[in-house]
Amino acid sequence: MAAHQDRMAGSVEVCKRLFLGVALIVGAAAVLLLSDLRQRQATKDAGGGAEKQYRVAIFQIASRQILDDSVQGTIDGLAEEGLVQGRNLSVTRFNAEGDMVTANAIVQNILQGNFDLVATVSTPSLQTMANANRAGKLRHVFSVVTAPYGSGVGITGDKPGEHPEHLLGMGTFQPVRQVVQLARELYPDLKVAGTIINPGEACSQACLAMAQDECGKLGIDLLVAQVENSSGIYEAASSLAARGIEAFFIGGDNTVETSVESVFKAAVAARIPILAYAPDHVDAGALVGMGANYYEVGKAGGKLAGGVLTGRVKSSEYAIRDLMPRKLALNQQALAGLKAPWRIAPELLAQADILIDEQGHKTVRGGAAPVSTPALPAGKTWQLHMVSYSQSMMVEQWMRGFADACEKLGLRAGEDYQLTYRNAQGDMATANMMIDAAIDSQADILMTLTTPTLQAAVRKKPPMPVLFGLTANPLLAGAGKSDSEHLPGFTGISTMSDYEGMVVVIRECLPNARKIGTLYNPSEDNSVFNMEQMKEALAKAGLSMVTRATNEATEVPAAALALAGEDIDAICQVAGNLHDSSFPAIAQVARQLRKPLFAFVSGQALTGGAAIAVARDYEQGGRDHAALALRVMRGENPTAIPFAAISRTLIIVNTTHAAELGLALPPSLLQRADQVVDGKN
Amino acid sequence: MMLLIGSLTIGLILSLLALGVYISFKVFSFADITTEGSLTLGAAVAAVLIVRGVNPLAATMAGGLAGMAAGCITGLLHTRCGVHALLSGILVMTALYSVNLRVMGRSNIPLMSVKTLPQQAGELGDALFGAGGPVPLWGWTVEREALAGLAGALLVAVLVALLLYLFFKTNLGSAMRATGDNAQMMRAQGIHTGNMLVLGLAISNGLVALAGALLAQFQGFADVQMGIGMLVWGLASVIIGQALVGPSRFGLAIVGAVMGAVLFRLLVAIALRWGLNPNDLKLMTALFVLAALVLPTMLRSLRQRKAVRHA
Repeated sequence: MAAHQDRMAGSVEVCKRLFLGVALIVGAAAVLLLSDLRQRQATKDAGGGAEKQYRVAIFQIASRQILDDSVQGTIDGLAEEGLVQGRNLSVTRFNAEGDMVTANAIVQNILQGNFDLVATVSTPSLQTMANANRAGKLRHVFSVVTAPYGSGVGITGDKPGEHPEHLLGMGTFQPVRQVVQLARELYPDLKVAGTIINPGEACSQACLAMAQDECGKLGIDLLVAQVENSSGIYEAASSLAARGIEAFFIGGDNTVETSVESVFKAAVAARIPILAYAPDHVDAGALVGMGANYYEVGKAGGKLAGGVLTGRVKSSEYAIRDLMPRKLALNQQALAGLKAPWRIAPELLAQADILIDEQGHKTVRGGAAPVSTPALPAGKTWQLHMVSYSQSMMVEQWMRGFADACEKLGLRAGEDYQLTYRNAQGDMATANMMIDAAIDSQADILMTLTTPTLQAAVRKKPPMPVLFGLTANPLLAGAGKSDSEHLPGFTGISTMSDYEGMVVVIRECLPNARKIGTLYNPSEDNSVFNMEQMKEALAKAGLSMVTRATNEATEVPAAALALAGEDIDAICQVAGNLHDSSFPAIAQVARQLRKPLFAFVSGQALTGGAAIAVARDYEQGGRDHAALALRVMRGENPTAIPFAAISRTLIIVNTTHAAELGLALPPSLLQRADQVVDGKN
Repeated sequence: MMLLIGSLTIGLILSLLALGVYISFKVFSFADITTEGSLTLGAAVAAVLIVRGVNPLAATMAGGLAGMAAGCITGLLHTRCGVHALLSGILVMTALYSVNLRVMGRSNIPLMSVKTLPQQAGELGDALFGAGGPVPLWGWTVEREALAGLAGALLVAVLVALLLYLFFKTNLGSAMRATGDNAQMMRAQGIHTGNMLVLGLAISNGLVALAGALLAQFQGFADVQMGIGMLVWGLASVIIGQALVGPSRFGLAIVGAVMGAVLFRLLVAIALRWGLNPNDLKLMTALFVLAALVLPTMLRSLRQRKAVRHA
């Protein structure tokens, strides 16, 4: 009996002792759950309204002022037909950002997205969409298309019935003839003009034909230069200027119009004006910009789309016609410094919708010129959760670029988005929990910085899109098989080195080089990967690579000596944790044996002893990350967005280091380098 | 809710780490730094074996055995070679960094595309309760696999704690504990205290490696750096646990260590959930640990004062 009582007392004692711990655990769990209460109610309240909800996809090919304006117009046009976002309409915006591969992925996405209608803006988006939608599964309204009849989508003429049943829209031909006539008006002695086109674009061919016709009538010689992509534009423009043209006609060409600045550079050098078939180019320095008011064009498209959805517009009775609400922009500042006496008559000035005066002040007259907004679904504050494994200079640069880009893209902190940043401070277990915390806080987008957080996210497969950044190699981290074939919901920006860019720089500095050396760490995945990629890039350029493996910092000097002892022309150190931290040891050997040293990390050229660094710009990485987030916020499916590397590479040259290493720097490189420093700073 | 489940799971997994640290630090008063290496070792061995197609359970066990071997070496260095306790741990930990790299062949092994214990637990759950989507739980929806992972972690923690308790009740176990308390007396009793220490460190590091193997599977990858800082968290859990249950019997102390580990992770989770300034996270966790240490003592002294007044 006594023994029994003893045991009873013992159990009570045990329970007492455990009480505090259990209470604290339950308390902490309750605190966590209370923080999530909102989430619980949110799931409960989720229910549908009664009104018919229309789902419309808007697909634009790139981010340009006129396209953004017309998308805004489309949304406003839909509203005029009684379809209002947030009430009975949900709009998902797609933007290929100029990439045709992406465009093709997007149209597949739209076709499977259960939409009631797709509205396309620009010719390429009309073509890709119409091509994928040949069966007519989805109703399609297009606008901002120069020549709908010639775009090969089955539109044969401008009478009712001369278009596929599901495909309606309107043409907007650039006012090419008027611009040519205007040029003659501003400078009556105009004899020779030039234009640049990408022959691959149907729209620019049409514009060219019209410009040639009009120039012929007025007795103006029109010289043509062809480019395939934006990198050739400056050269093409310079060559035209050298052939003695007196003005540039620009327009109807997506390739040239996205890089008007390059034409402008050549035009300024030759002291001749640019006349464009689109008003927004006056901002980039064009003298005249005449084009459609694309906001109005978009609005007409939106009204048509609304009519189709509500049944007001019958496809069989609808005729595809041209629509041209004119908008004239003049830039008086561009008159200054011109060779020939160009003159803008006062009565013309009075007609201008947009005017930039001699001092560069811009006035916008009449007609509501819409403010360009990122056009996100109204009223939603996107919860962006950014998680990082540890704090570092790279993370800080990245976040600076991110904040900068959000501002430039017109995203307002606190209104359009709210950024929550978490940092595991180097603890793996915490890195995992941060992903859970983001899920519980109902983040709309999870943005991981650094590889461990991406891996944790890959493991958890959270319900929201995951956009990774600051990750050397997302494929090794398990996020996908290739850049385009990856886990659903995942995409991002990698920091993969610019191997090809490095090879170009090496060849520029050392045209006779044959063998390049590097150290690598066989126990670091990224180091091995970088070494192999660099080897491949060098092999493509006919160079070979000599390698030495090191596992530890203490082995680096000896390995570097062994490497430099080989018959190599230069050392190009691939990125990796071990060799980034032990870089000074490599630099010292390179200095002693006077081997040129190239690196992939900016700091290694700034202070680390390398002559030249070809480095990814982490701030740009942050900007790319923000642009990616915006694409997803506009409704794009991350699954369809391929992984990409940071879009900008910096070339950093250190003249002192170069002299120490015995490397003669070619002037061309010094000119195109982003940063030239001497060893003192 | 996901965060609660996730942190409870990690807490329970890391309670094995706490138990391991408890044995070396509390039972033998041996500050064993091997822990940081053996945690990664367990993860590395398990990950490599799982990727090669070995059954996850067997791979996890193998990870634990590897940790035991590491513990043995530390113990032997100390007892047979006379290396200072701290230094022998440092030596083995340093060596393990290279060994871990060798074992993995690289610095990081992802376990995304292979079947791991949490996934098996999920499948078992499906088999028992029928497959389906997320489970509703008091208004929240919870992933089934997460729940299964939590149940699995709880099962493992309880099982290990129970086995440990039973083991230390045996003659051998009692002798080990007594060695920790008073080695001289045990030597007088004819017990080889060196062997006791080696065995103790083996068990300790075996548990730590087991925690590592489970953590790697739960988080989906093994990384050569994952052990760094873990000894401190283990110690913190043990000390919090002790503060919770007070100076008491062995069985209670074991439960205390488990509770300490779980509580510690919950506190970190709260700090995360409330979105504290990320740079302050470590400061907050330190303050939490401090609070957990000081509060129980204060409460107890308050209670005692009250008791005195009543008397």
